[in-house]
Amino acid sequence: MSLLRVEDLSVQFHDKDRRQEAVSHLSFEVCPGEIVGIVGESGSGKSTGMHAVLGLLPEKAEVACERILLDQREITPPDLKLADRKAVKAYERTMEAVRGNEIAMVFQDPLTYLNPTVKIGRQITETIRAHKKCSQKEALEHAEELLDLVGIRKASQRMRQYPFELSGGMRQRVVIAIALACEPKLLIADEPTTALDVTVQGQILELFKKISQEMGTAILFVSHDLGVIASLCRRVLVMQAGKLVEEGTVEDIFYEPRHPYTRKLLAQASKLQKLPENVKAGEPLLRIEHVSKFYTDIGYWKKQEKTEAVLDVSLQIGRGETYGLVGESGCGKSTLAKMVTGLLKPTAGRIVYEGEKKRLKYPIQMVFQDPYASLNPRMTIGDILEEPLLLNTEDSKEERLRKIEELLKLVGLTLEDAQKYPRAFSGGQRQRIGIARALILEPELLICDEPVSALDVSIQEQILSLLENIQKERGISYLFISHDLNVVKRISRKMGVMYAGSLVETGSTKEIYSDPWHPYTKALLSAVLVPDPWKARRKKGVLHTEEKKVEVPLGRGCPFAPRCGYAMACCFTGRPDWYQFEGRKIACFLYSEEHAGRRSGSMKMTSQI
Amino acid sequence: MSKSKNTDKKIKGHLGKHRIRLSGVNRLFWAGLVLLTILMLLAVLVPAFSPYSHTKQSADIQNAVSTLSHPFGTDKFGRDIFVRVWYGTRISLTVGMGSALICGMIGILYGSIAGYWGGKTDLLMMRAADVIDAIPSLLYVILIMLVMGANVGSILFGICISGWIDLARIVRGEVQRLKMREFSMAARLAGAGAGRILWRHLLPNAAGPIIVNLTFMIPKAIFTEAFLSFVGVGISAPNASLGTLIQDARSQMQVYPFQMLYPILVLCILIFSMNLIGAGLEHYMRQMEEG
Repeated sequence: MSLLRVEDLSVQFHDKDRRQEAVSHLSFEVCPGEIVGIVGESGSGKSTGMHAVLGLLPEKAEVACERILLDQREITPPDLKLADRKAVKAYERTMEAVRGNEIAMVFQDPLTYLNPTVKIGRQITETIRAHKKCSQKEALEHAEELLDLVGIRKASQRMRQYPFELSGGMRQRVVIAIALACEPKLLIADEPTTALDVTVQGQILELFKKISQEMGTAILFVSHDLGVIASLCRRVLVMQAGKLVEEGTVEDIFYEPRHPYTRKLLAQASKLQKLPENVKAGEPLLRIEHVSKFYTDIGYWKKQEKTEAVLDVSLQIGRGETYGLVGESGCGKSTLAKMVTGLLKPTAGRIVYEGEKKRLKYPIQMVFQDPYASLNPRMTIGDILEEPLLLNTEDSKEERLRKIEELLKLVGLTLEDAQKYPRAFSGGQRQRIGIARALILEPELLICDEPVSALDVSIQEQILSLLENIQKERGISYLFISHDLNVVKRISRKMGVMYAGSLVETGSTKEIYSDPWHPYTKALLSAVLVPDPWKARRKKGVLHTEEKKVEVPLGRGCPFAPRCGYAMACCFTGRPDWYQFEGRKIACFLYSEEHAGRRSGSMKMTSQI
Repeated sequence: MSKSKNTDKKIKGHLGKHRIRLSGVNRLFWAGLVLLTILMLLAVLVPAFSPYSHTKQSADIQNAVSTLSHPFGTDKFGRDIFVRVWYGTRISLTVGMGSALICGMIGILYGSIAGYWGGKTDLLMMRAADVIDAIPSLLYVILIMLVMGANVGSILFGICISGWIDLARIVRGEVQRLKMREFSMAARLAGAGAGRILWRHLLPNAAGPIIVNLTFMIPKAIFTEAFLSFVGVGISAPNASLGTLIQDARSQMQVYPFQMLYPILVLCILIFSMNLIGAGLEHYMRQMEEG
């Protein structure tokens, strides 16, 4: 007996004279207590389908459905064109009772879901009281239980806080608590971990597992990330362009995919698991020496506060080399990138660039994260590409045109595209244009600040191989910044791990991935999800209760100490020095002489954790 | 070959869609523009070609009703109201357009500088603007009229003293928002200076709110002028703006209501046409942002 049964669901959007089928003939069912994953690229109709089930789509969407059954009860949306007002109203009324009570939803971005001006406690109790008749006191008690269930300690204290006081993962826990308020039979989670950092993602996934086991809630988990699906779901639906192309158990889908699209998805995901080719690094091109950046709040009334965005970072990039920089959001990666390009001035330390184009004002160019914000919507592609040439070179009109054509070809576009405006292009194409713009002045070093984070997996791989080919052809160096460990592993030979503004470990990518030394690196790596259900299950799932907000003790102590499982007394009182062992450098007391003991020169250092 | 044909089609399709949007949305805009053009033509041509002058009095045709030779009739001094109304429209248009132009230039420049440089510059500039804005603009106009005499120039000057501040605030906000976007950072990396970034990257993207604000500034200025003339501190006799005409007719409102009706009608149509243009543009800009 199934809990939710959807038969032949189609959704069409009318945009003036165009019609677009977002979901076509989707049928599936969910059994009680089951975790079902829905996977597909952006625009494949995953979210639209889920919204249609809950009746949350805007009026311009045309929903046609044979039948939707929830627990043998009919919740089929009426056809707006044929049905009379009464039927529509009756449907609205049933759905109001169903939403929250029987089916609850968790959205991608907890910050937009939670009301920023209302305290957490009230947001939960309001939901409880909207669906159940109970007193304020009972609701409060229930809310405390819920928060405890989703792993938030000191619930009564947390309930008096506003959403902005909590970290991203905590907010998502609160959203889950609200969703669970009425003990729904089905929980629809729409990319609930996409906006979170990897380590936090792992914890939230553990929480979902726990909920499904303890409460017997069925979960419909929508995600574009095969790793997430592999580690959580029992059954998987694969969607492409609004159609359900394959359905099966997680093992079937991952080990014996039948549909070519599923195979393609899996191949792309596993490609990211490969290591890059061995590129020999030349002499150093860029040296970053003890660079720091402080921001001071302009305070009129109170004392000025100093925030350290980047603290004492040193690294070196050789010619023709790709240096990967990983870290969670807010760790100072982008600030470092802007300092390297010269857009920001470092507060302390220096950046030495040895390239030949030093006479340019900005010899180091950059590829930006958001392909939708990095191109001026009011300029044609030709104008965008011509601008750096106009400002920095004495080229004639013909020469400029020739260079633009050459670069457009290099990134896989044509000269005809030069007359179009950015809105005519997709995200991947825009990112190609962004790369062309960065390359047009022939820089020797290119900073790629999360260049593929906003793209689908299939497009990610295309952009990464484009970057690799360009490197082979032109011998330029990259500083590749990403929060995605898979992407960094795929493209860089050398890498550094950043935490709260400072580097904690550097070395070759291969060594760091196979044998992480720093506790933080280890935490990061163990949180990476591989698109392989067996491997994912073998990983022991430890349910962490709650993550602490990153608090950097100003100038004192190791920034990771409060979160570190190996923290010693000295970790809280002093910052660790850099300890170097052959190619690897690490900032952790575990590798200090006092702790690891004095060694003879011939002894090899191994991981201490 | 086939590939290029394909892209040709795509380009054409793209442009075609664009055109449909232009004509469909802007019924408001075109209606406003046609009205305004007619008014402007009348305002220029009627005083120039009419056999009567707007100041010449004649005792024998006082308070005449509408005839063929005097379409709007004559006032208590026997002056032709038709000519006087269109002469007044001229003044109103000059004040409206002139103040929009001057306020537009000052506002965009001031707002851009404050928004782009930020920090202390921004703080000082915007606080200075606040101080100017704190005094009611009517007070400026009245004071300046007292000092510089009652003419179009002083009305314009008075309106412009504080008229640019709203626009400057809007421009500053837009510039602040847009300068953090990645494309302006990319422009900085390309070596563009502040002027180029503002002119090519930031202001074109802020064009929507700026243009809409400017078009609404015109009727506001026209209204201010008419109001001032009505309360008696505007254009001095024998010259007449729409506001003075209405004021003059007020004393005989119960006997000869048409003397008041015509200038009021023209003033209404003028402000209405400007508002139509503004609303049409606003609508169009919003569609552009979405599409």
